[in-house]
Formats: sequence, structure tokens, C-alpha cells
Amino acid sequence: MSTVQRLGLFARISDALWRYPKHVFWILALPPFLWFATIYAAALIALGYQSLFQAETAAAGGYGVSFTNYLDLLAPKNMTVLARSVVMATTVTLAVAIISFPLAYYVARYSHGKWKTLFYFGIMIPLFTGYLVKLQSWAVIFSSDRLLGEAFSILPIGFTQTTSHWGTFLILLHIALPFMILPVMMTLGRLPRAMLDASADLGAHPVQTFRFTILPLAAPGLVIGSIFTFSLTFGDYIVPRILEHYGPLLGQSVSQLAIEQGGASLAAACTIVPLIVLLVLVWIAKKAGVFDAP
Amino acid sequence: MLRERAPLWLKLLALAGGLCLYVPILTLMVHAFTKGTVGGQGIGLTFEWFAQAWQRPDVWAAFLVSLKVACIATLIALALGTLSAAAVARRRRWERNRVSWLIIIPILLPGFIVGVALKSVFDLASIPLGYWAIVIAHATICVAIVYSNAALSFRKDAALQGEASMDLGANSFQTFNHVIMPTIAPALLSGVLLAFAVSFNEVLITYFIAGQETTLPLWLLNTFTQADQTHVASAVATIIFLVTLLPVATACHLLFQSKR
Repeated sequence: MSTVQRLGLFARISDALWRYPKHVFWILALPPFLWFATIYAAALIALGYQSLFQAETAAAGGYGVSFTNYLDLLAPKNMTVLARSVVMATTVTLAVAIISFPLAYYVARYSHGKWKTLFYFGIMIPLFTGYLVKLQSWAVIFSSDRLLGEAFSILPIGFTQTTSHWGTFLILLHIALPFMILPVMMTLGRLPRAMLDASADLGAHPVQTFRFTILPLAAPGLVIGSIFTFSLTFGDYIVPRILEHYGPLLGQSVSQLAIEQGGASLAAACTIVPLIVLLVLVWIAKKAGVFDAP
Repeated sequence: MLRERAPLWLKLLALAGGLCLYVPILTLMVHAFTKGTVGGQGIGLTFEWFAQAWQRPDVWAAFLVSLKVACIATLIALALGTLSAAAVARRRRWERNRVSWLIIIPILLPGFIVGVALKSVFDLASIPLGYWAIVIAHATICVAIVYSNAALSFRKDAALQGEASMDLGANSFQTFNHVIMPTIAPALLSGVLLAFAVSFNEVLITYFIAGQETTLPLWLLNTFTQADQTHVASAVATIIFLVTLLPVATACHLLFQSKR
């Protein structure tokens, strides 16, 4: 004789949670989905709207779509700003990659146990140290009552109009450094030792091992680090403004426009174009499998 | 196993990288705790700048705004990040990857792009700039941090152990309370701590949407132009650094423990 046990409400809910994974998925996913969908859609619509419907035409009572903002972007003077920003971001990214690689390689390959933990610690702390804390450090280094006396005045950096790009370069480099070190360190940490030994056994010169074994295997980390570094540097507007960079960088001009009265529509156009370009670049990187976590 | 030794040139290059990371921050700390210059009357240890910062009502106001924003934003991020990680834990790999990259976009994009975009949203939707605008922005970027911590732990540990628990006859609630929660708790906590640190320090996006509100990093930014304030500013920057150090160190500790 089998007795069919009647289940209480509690148990039935519990069973339902197990039985309908699709429904559970949507119950869980709905709040974050709504949050992000709202913000992303709103951001794209707002930027598109502001850049296409010019401030002047709206004030005049007309509702015309106009591409003047986008045509304005193509003006030679704006192209110069763009080129300058790309050059700055690229050089900083390259320099950061070169400086971080030996450190990342050393920690990933040669440090063990307690030391390794300590080194990871040492990277995580600057990674999360605030942007303005780092900036204040440089303000101290460059300031007139400087602690280091005249040491830094010998170097071609500081607040003067002609050399401020070195200062900008140096500060951006310092800010971006941990964002490159960590991903490179992670990928190098997974580097199989046997592969390096095999390369050496087969007669490769250490330089060849580096070029054909280490570098390709470290590439995903380098790409992620470069995306972060480029993005941080390209989008920065505070450092060049404070150092009075000799010519404005993109972020600097856009941030100026965005908070000015009546500049919002051009600022929106200046934002939506790099936004789309960067998304396409990141999408390409994603297609290449950079973000596929192991 | 025989441990290899690093060649000297590699050690030196690594050391140089390490110095690049730490020399500026150490300079800041020394500046905050001293008065005088090396060349002049000599250097002396002092807490004067911290005392001055302590007495400033504007520093306190900014500090409290930052603290409140960081707490609320972190709580929102905790809810949204955990939910998304739980939702995708048992989905296929390409679906997870797609979700991860959608969530991570706001921290991957340059600050001014996110800032200007959010500003135009708030302007057009006539949401006033200020406190809640900052909370929304910070919550959005912090989700990525909570999510990336939680997702790994859900996928690796909680999913399998949850299945085992159900096989052994536990119901969904028991499994959640006794198996899944304890398994993911350290990851959630480290996500929360890191999210707090990020929100407390965020300035590049906040700048556009702060309105009349001043967070502690924004206070620091406004003080850059005042030459007589550099020592107090250094003291405040040191405080921000220390307030960040504690949660980040704890989070790292938790992460390393769970790895072992």
C-alpha cells in the first residue's frame, strides 16, 4: 500500500525551485537585467538624442534632426585633438606593458609561497588605490614646497607649458601600471613550465623562447591590460587639465563641453563616436577569445 | 623540486617596476606626516595636518557623503551582482561570457564616456544630479566587481556541492542555507569590500553627475588649485588610502584563503 504524502506549501515551493530551472533563472536574472537594460538603453538614447537634436534648433522651436555635431567632429582642429589623445594613450600603453612585463614575469615564475602572496597583495593595493590619491602623490612630487627638494626640477617634467606632456605621461603611466601588471601576471601564472623547458631542450635561444613561447601565451593578459590602460589613459581628463597640457586631449575637451552651458549636444556627439569605436574594438578582442576565462 | 633562481637583470627590472608603483604613494605618506623640506630647516614628524583635516567641517561633510554613497551603492551592487552570478551559474559557457562582458562594460570604458552618457540620461530624464545620481552610477560599476567574485565561486564550488546536497535529500531552502550560502559567503564578502573601495575612490564618473554634492575625492580635486592646502590635502589623501587599504587587504586575504 503506497501512501501518497501531501506536501506542504514550503516543500512544494522547494520542489518547484528545483523543477523549473528556466523560471528560477528569470526570477534571478530579472532585477539585474532590468537595471542594466534600462541604463544602457537610456544612455544610448540620451546620447543619440542630444547629439542629433541640436540645442539651437530646439530653442528655436523646431525639431529637426541635424548631423552638424557629427560634421563638427571632422574639423581639422578636432582631428588634431583626437590624434594627440590616441598618441598619448598608445605610448602610455606601450610603456606600461614594457615596465610591467618583467615584474609580472618575476612574480609569476620565480616567487613561491608566502612571497607570492605578498607580491599579489602588493599589486592589488595600488590597483584599488584611488585615482586622486595617486594624483595627490604627484602633486606633492611636483609641488613648490617639494619634499624631494630640487630633484625633480632637473627632469623635464612639471607644470611648465612646454614640458607638461612628460608630466602627464608619467602620471598616467603610474595610474595605469597595476591594471596591466595584474592580468599579465594571471596569464603568466598559467604558463606551463614544461613548455619553456621543451623550448630550451629543442635548442631555442632564450630570446626565441620569449618571442615564440612566452609572448604568445601571455598575449591574452597583455590585451586585457592594454584595453584597461588605453581606456584609462584615453579617457582621462583630470591629469592634462591640472598639468595644463600644451594642447587639449579628447577627454579634457569633452568634459569641458559637457559641463558648459549649451555644450551638451556636441559633447554627446564627441562621446558616442569613441564609445562605438571602443565597443567594436572590445568586441573584436572578445571574438578573439580574450575574455574567455579558463 | 629544485627552485630556479631569477637572473639578476630580471630582478632589477622587477624591482624598478615595483618602485614605479610605490615611490609616489610613499612620498605622499611622508609628506602627510612631516613638515619642512630636506634642504631647508630640516624635516620633522608631525600630526598637525591630520589635526587640521579633522577640524574641517567641509572634509567631514565630504567624507560622510563618500561613506554613505559607498555603502548604499555596495548594497545595491551586492544584490544585483549576486543575482546575476546565481542566474548564469548553470548556463552554458558562451551565455556566461556574454553576460560577463555586458556587466563589465562600465568599468572597461573610459571614465568620461560613462560620465557624459549618464549625465545626459539624468538631464533628459530630469533626475536631479547629486546624491542619488552618484549612487546609481557607483552601483552600476560596482556590480561588475561583486559579479566577477561571486560568479567564480558559484560555478566552481556552489553548483556541484548544491547538486550533492539535493541528491542527499535536502530541499532547495536547506541547500541554500547550509550549502550554497556558506560556500559563496567569502567570495561575496570580498566582492563587497572591493566594491566599497572602488566606490569610495571613484571620481572620473562622479565628476559629471555630482551636481552640488562633494565626495571626498572631489574635495581633493577642488583643493588642487590651492597651494597653501597641499599638506592638508596629503593628509586627506592618506586617510582615503588607509580607508581603502583595510577592505582591500581583507578581500585579498579572503581570496587567497579560498584558493587554497
